[in-house]
Formats: sequence, C-alpha cells, structure tokens
Amino acid sequence: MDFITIIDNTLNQTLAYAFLALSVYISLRLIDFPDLSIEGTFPMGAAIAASIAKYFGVVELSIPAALIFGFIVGTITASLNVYLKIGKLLSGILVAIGLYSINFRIMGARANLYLTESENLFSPLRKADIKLSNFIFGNEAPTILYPVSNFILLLLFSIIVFLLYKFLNSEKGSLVRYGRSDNKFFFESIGINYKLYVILGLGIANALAALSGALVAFQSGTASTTMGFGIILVALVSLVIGEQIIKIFHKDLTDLWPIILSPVLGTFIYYIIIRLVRWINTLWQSYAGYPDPTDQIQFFNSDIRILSVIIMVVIYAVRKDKMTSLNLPERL
Amino acid sequence: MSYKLQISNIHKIFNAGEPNEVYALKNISLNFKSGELVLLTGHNGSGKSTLLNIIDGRIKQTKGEIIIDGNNIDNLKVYQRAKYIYRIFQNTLNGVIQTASIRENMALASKRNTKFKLTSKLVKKSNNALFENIVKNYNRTLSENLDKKIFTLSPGERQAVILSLLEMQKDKEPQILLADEPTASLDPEMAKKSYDAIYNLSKKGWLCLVVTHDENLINGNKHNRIIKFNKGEIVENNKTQQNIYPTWNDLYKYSNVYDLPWVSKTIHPTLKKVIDKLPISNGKALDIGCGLGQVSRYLAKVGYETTGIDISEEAIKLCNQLNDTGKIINYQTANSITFTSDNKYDLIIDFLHIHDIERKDVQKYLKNIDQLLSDKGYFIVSTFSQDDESNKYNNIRESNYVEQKINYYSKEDILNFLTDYYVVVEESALIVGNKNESYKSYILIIKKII
Repeated sequence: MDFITIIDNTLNQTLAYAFLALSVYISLRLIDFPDLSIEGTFPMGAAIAASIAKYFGVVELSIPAALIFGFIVGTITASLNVYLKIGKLLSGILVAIGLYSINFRIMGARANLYLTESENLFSPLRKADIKLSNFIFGNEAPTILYPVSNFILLLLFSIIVFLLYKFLNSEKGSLVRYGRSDNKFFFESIGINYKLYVILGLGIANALAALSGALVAFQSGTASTTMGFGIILVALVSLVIGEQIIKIFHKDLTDLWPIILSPVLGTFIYYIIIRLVRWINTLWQSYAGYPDPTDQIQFFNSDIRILSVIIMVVIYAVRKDKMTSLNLPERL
Repeated sequence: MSYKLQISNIHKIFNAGEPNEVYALKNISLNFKSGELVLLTGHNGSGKSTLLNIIDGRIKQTKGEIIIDGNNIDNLKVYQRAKYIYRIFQNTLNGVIQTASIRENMALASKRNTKFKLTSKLVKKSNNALFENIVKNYNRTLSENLDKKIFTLSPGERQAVILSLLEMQKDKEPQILLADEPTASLDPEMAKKSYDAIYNLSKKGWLCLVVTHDENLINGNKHNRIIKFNKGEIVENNKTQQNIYPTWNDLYKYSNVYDLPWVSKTIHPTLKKVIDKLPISNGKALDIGCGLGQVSRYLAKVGYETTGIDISEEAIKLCNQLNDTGKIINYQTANSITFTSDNKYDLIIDFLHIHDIERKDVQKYLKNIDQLLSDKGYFIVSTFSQDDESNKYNNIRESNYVEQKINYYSKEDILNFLTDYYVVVEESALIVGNKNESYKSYILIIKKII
C-alpha cells in the first residue's frame, strides 16, 4: 500500500516535470544551447495558464496558450543568440530575468495566483481520482492517489514524445535535431539556414517548459513568480540521471531512441530520491523527538537545491568514461 | 564566351582604420570557365583562403563583385549560394554532422538544395544500395557499416565520408567546387583519392577551385592552371600545357563521345569522295588520329590493309569495339610524332589531327610522315583555315572539351615542312561540325614528286 502510494505520487509529480527535462534534452543535448531562459519560461507557463483560467475563464485554452507563448519566448532567446550574436548563456539569462517582470504583469500585478476549484483544469481529474481510489480501496482511501490524473498525463506525455520522435526523424525534423551552430558549415553547404532551425528547436523546447509550468500550476493550484528559481537544475539533474541509467543498456547517447526516454526516467528517479531523503528525515525527526524547526540538524525544503547540486557533482565525479568534447551529449 | 565565375576588382581590408588593419586582397580580377580545375597557392596569409571565403559568402568583400553565370551574387547569404557552390573544408569535422550516422549525413547531403519535407522520413531503406555503392568506392569496410556515427571514425574514414557526400553532388547540374586544402593531413592514398574525386568532378563540367600547398598536386598535371598569391596579389596565373595528352584519354573515357562536335559515326562525305577519287584502291593505309575509327573502317571496306593510330588508349578500345567491317584493322595506341613502322604506307590520312600538334613539333611530325610514306604514296591532310569561323570552333572546344589550343597550319606551312619533294595534287573545301555548329576547313592531297 505504501509502495503504491509512493510510486503513484512520484509519478504524478514526474509527469509534470518530465516535460521540463524533455525541454532541456532538446535545448542542451540536441541543439547544444544551454538555455537558462526556462527559469523564466516555466513560471511564465504557469502564469499564463493560471491567468487565462482565472481572468478569462476559459480553462481549456490555458494549455495551448502556455505552449504558444513558450514557443515565442524560445524563438526570442534563440534570435538574441543567432542574430545579435549574444552568447547562449547570456541570451538565456536576459530572457529569464526579463520574464520575471513580465510574469508579474501576466498574473495581474501579483506575485502569486491561487486557483479555485472551478478555475482548475485538473478539478474533474481530481474528482475522478478520488472516486476511483475510493472504489478500489473502500470509502476511506488511506492516502491521496492519482490514478486518473496519471493516466491522462501519461497519455499526454506519450503522445508528445511520440510526435517529437517522429518529427525529429523526418527530413525537416532532422534539421532541428542536428541544427547546432557547430554544424553550420554542413547546413550551409546543403543550402539550409541553420539559424532558423536553432530558433525552431529552442521554440519547441520552451513550449515544453511552459507546458510543464502550466501542469505544475494546475497540480498545485497556484502559480507564482518565484516558482522557476533554480528549476533548471532540477531538469538538468533529472536528465543526467536518466542518461546515466539508460547508458547502462545503451552506450551511444547521441541516438534518439531510447535516449529520448531519459528525461522522464531521470525525473522519476530524482523525485524518488527526494522522497527517500524526506522519509529519512522523518525517521530522524521522530528519533530526535521532533526538534525545533530552526534546528540545523534536519532536512529543510530549501535543501533540495543543494541536494540537486550534490547529485549532479557526484554523477560527474563517478562516471566511468571521462568524456571528450567530441561526445556532444556529455558537454555541458 | 560566358564564364562560370567572374571575380572583378575584389578588395578586402580586414579591421579597416584600426591598428591591426590588413590589406588581404588587392584588386583581384579572375575569370573561370566551367570544367576548369584551378589550383590556388601561396604562403599563409597570402589571401587565397580569403578569396575562397569571399566567393562562398563567409566573408564580405570591401569592394568588387562576384558574378556566377552572369548574375551578381553579392547579396546572397552563404546558404543561398549553395545553389551554385559546394564547399569542402580542410578540417574534416566541418563538412559532416558528427553526431549523425554516415547514412543520415548522406541522406541530408543528397537533399541539398531541395525541399525538406515534414512528412517523409530522413532515413529511407530505398537509398541503402545507392549509399553503399558510393561509400564502397572510398572505403569498403565502411560501406558495410553505414550506421556508424561520424565521431567514431578515424580522420581517413571521415574523409571517405566527405568524398562520398561530394560524389552525391556529381550528378546534379555542374556547379562550383571550393576546396580548402583537401589533401592536407591525409595519408597519400586518401589524398590521391580526394584529388581524383575533384578531378573527376571537373571532367563533369564543374569548376573546381582548390587551395593547396601540396607539392604533389602542384607538380602534377591534372590542373588547368595555377594561380599564385602573394600578399594579396596575384603573382602568377598560368595556363599549363602539360595536360594536353592525358585529357584526350579522359575525354573518351568520361564523355559521351558522340556529343563531341568533331565525332561522327561514319566517315565524312567529303573525305569519302576524296578517297574514292584516288587512283589507288588497295595497299597499306595509315589513319593518324583515328579517333573512333570511322575513317579506318571505310579504308578497310574499300580494300586497304589499314592501320589506325591514336594517342588515347580509350579511343583505341572503342575502335576495336566498333569494328564491324569483318576485316582486321590494326589499331594501335601511338603518338603520331614518334610512331614508327617497318612498312611504308601507300596512303596516310590525317583527318583533323594536325592542328593538335604544337608548332614546335610539327616539323618532326611531318618528317615522320615523310619516313612512313612510300614513294608513290598519297598523304591526305585536313585542318582548319584560320578565319573567324574556326576561331569560334577553337573557343568552343577549349571551353567545353579539352584545354588545348588549335594550331593553325596553312597549305604553305605543311609543304614547307614536308620538304621540296612534295606537291599538292588537289585541294578542296571541307565543312565539319554537326547540326548546330559547323566550321570551315580544307583538305589536301599531297604526293611526292619522283
């Protein structure tokens, strides 16, 4: 029972954040653009979805709107780089910081936005979740379960990954897949403007980041301007964990299949780890007799950031093959 | 005459007005024709690579124009110029996508200048055989392993892929190839393959500009000219003469021979009339520069014991294939200046061949004819009279077929060199060419006075 709850709850969280890791996979691994702008796109997706649901009352349009505006932000970041020759990192930072101010305005000059039940796209799903849990586990299900939500999210994720995979294998899509600035000589020699494909690729990546933000907003029922802080590290750690696991079975990380599954797999493992650490903390707290909340010897929510950093560093330290710069997926 | 690529008054100044100002190119003007293979040499920093970069649009010139096929391309971006230009790089990493497989690279290159569709897959099974065949020419083991990623390959293997990508462009409309040190940092075998690939492309009508320091290429004889740069200026722009004879062989080997304006399947009617009118109709005959053997075949049919010689092995091969007379014709690969025989010939025919012999050699050649001709023998010689019409012919041949000047010899020239014992028995006019182009020429029957 406990095991099912853990898997079910982690999956629910995973399926929202996996889009973010997928976004980083596209921007960083495929088009070699370390895109920091998702720090702004992620809360923007949440802000747009929440605002449309709250102020315009059309909950159904919230997800498509997040996707479209995410795409636009991606094209702006990429344009700063390819046309104005601003560095990739700086382009991302500029857009992310600029979006902080814009997100505040999108949410109607507020830093936080709370969604009521009627304004939340996921409300019907939550009701169905509760009904199904009660049906299975009796009238009083011991914990919160998300069977229906997870099914719908998994379906959505599968469709998007499938479409993305098909797209990246098509003639036009392969231009996005390989549309990196270090391939520009090749692209130019076959008569292709690689800049357009960097822009398109980053647009898709940011659309997914905004989608992730929107899903998180509906899951938590709230959007805030600060929810994006450090989120890039979550996505990055998830991606790297997933890659390292898939690498056990499949050596070549430049292949699209099965590496395209590493974001979702990595995100899942990442949240399992977080859950594990929290569980250990609970054990510690009960052992120490629930210490003072300011007591330093315990796990705070803010420690998730340093935990991510440690995971990242450990992975880079213990991996067997110290990658060369040739092996692009290992470059950060 | 139209040029494939015209470079007119190109100036390039890097960092103008700053302390590190460099005058990279000073008033460069060059014209190139289709099918030319040109080597650009010079010290590092002499401006040759800068010129290449200006042609393909990577660097913008300070002044001057680049004209391709008569169109100014200054406003086209690098990727738009791919319509006219294909480029291979010194660094083999630049011409390929490293994280893609060989197959994907080839699929992308085969779609050069076409529309990339959303609905069709990049890697198609239907292309497999084609790709394998192309790669096989350069590296057999690689052709069985097309799913290898480029970053796993050695530099030599990578060059094999780059040459395969180049070969995929071959059947498209002839364009311009820019190659920046294509043989640098390669082992001799791969370097030779690379240069041969470029050479074959130029035979297909591509204009190939090759920046190189490779002595083997510079001392070789496959290029049409060498342009030497020094401090942004052209110090040498030579048309070499070395490659006159090898090109004949290649001409027969690589082109559709019946498209050549001077080639026909049957003997020229005027020459036929001349031969028919001769008082002899048997004996030994020699056909110099037999080409595809149309004259030799006619002579054999009439009843001569015929020998045909040509400088090109390929032509002789074709001659033997085309012999449908049922008689034995003795075809040989030989240089007409040095050809010797135990026999004396009763009839020697030089049909549109003498103009390919340079003026300095023509005396030797005619002495040789004197040696070969029997006392009662006839020498039939035909060549172009020097007037505007034939100049046009010269230009057409030079630009489209072989890089070789036509040497004009008048009746008097030939007689002078043949010594005083010879007289012209008969002279008649001759029109050569095909439906589209025809040129005035003359035909002489020459005989010894005994």
